[in-house]
Amino acid sequence: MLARVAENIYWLSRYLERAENTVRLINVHSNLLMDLPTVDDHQGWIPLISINGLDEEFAELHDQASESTVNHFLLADKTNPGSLRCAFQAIQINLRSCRDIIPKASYEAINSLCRFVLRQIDGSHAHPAQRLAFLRTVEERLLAISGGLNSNMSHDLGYRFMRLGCYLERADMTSRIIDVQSTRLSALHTTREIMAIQAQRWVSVLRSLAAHQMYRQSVRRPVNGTDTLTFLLTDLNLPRSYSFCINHLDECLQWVGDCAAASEAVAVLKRQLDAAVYESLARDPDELHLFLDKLQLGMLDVGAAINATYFPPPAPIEEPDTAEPTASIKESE
Amino acid sequence: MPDRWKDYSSPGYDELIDKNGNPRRAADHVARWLDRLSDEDLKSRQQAAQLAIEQMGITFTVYSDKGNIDREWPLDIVPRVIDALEWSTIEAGLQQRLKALNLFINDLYNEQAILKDDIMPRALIESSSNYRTECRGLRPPHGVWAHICGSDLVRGEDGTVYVLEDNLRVPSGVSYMIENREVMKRAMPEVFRQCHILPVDNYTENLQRMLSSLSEQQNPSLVVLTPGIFNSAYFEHTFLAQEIGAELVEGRDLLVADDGYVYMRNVGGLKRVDVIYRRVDDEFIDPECFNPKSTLGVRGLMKAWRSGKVAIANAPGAGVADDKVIYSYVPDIVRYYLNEEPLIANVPTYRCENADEREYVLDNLASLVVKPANESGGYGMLIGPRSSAGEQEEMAENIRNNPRNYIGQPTLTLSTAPTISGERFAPRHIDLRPFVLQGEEITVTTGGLTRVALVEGSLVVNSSQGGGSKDTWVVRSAAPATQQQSQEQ
Repeated sequence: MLARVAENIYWLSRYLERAENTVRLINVHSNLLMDLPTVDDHQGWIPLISINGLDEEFAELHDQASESTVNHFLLADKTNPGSLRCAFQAIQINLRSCRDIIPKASYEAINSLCRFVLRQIDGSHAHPAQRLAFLRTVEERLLAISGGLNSNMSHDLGYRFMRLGCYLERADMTSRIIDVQSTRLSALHTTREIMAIQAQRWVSVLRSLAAHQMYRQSVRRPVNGTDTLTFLLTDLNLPRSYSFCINHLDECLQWVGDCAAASEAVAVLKRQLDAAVYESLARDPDELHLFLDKLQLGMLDVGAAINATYFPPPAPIEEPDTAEPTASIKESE
Repeated sequence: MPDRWKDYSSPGYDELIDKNGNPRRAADHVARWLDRLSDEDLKSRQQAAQLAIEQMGITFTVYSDKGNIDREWPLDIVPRVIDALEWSTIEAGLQQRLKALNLFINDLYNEQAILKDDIMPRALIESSSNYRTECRGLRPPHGVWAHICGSDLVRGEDGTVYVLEDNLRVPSGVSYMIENREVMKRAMPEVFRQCHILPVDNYTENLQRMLSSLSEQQNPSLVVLTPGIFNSAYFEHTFLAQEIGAELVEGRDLLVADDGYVYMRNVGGLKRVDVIYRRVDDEFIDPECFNPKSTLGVRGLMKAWRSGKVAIANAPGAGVADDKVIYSYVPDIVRYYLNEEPLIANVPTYRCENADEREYVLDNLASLVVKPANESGGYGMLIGPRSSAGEQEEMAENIRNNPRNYIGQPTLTLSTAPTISGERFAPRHIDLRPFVLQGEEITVTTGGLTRVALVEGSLVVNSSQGGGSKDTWVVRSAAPATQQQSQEQ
């Protein structure tokens, strides 16, 4: 497989995963806020911006976070590179360059979802009920796409690069969701309030990762901080747990081969997880935040190692009207 | 019941409806079926087709000042129907034609017997912009240069089928032929089993077999070389790469190594390439040999090809037979190499190079079609009856300045097929592009891509200029259709 195409598949998959997480996150967060009537609008919605590390970009456009400003920014904003619109535009572009590798049915599913989202996105977030229905549809279709790829595509090199992108993006998102939902949200409250919403908070983290039901089946204790953190960060069977993601990431790397640098960067992350004391992380939001920050930095190293090992240095794509006016239309009809 | 054929009347020969207003035999079933549909049903079928095209991402790219725009492929759901008996004659004619053309190209780059025997003037070849002296003395596998040929067929008023031009460089459209069928199966699934329509999807297997036959390797590694995502036919490039199990590569993905072989830059390092199906014109495939500014090609590719270390389809230099002046000699070429009469006619062609023919063309610009010898996509041509005095004057000037570069042909009234226009069927002019493959053997697509001029009276079918398309059905009708046809003529 061409290195250039492998890179396109890898990014296609990252953006698909990112879109899925964004959609689920907004949905779950909306639900959480319905149960937190005392939290004011700004403080309630700003965590969604923080999760994506977009506080500065958001502040440039809006003074206050609110249901409408935050949802517009995360879903439809053309200037926000982290918006769902931009994710789907990136999906379209990457899809184009690896179209010959993707199974036809999956291509079709992704392509029509892109069209659906880009067409509907402006009208999708005006009313909460409409927004939630839209987001559920997008999430369902994204899950169907992921199922289709898993069942129809040979688990060959292209597939492995897809998985690499997916696991990396997913691990990243898992750590961000835990970070924001558990640490930044809690910083807004007095101890008494935190106690009151303690369980809700962790339930919301679990739901954001579609892991609440699996938690109950696996942990079999009421939702609490230590168990939730341990489950989401170290469980070996939950597909969105951090450990699950980086273990599978590592397996993919081994399958692809020539992976010493990236694999070493993953090993650093594994050692951090092994050394962590989850009781203490669950008690102290600041300590948890520092811990998750370190994981995220480590993940950047993994991404950089993957880039350096497998993907060629970026070659400029020549647009017909700049580089060679006639070259691209040379094909006779 | 809606009567969409009321007042239906073709200005020429209609492919589906005869002069008396009755469906031709092969089209009988589908015509009746279409008539049974209500207006809403017909509309919803067309919409279903449209939706399928959007979802399947069947697009082509149009260039404009505002950049490149992806457009949905236009398909009219009324099929163009051809009787299988008639098709078998056309198929044989196309095979004959490509066989002769390949013998001709091979001769030009080797013995040049046809020039020595004075069948064709030497100056014509030497002045052809697609004649590549770099190719002299070469004999590609099977002696074949043009492996993939898209010939444009049209039918005149009297029902005669003509070859309008041969595209031997990088003809496109075959993916749309195959996808049109897919879309039609979604839009009107119930008709297919009743109508005895021959399938079209064996093309890609034939293509793969043909390309593999160009290499001595057991399982040669195939690539499709595309100019990139901005090319108007990029959709087709991805489609074909996928269908034949080839990698889709751009020039920057390939290199010629010190050992003289071609390699692609893979994840695990370099991998050898045995056969290149290139969709980049000669001029751009190797900056070392041709256009030095090209970034679409691969440095050293020609050297690798010349030394037999990689196969290229179509072979560099094959476009020489694409020249529209040389086209006018094809009947002679068929007779010369095969000692047979051509099975499909050429459109009568005046060569502006010859003084008396030039005078005739200049005197009759208002009624002729004039074409430049080496353009494609309908660019640079003049359709006399639809042109202004100014345009004719400009063309006359062009012809006088460069007579070798122009030919004139009578303006044919192309045949029509019923096409949806509002809630009625209206006759619209069409052509047909079958695709012919030659490697060890010669195969022809079942039918081809039917293009339709959607504007009333227009003869321009090119998709870049507002043309649409139709699914082409080669139909085995219940009884021989010859009787009915002879009655009509």
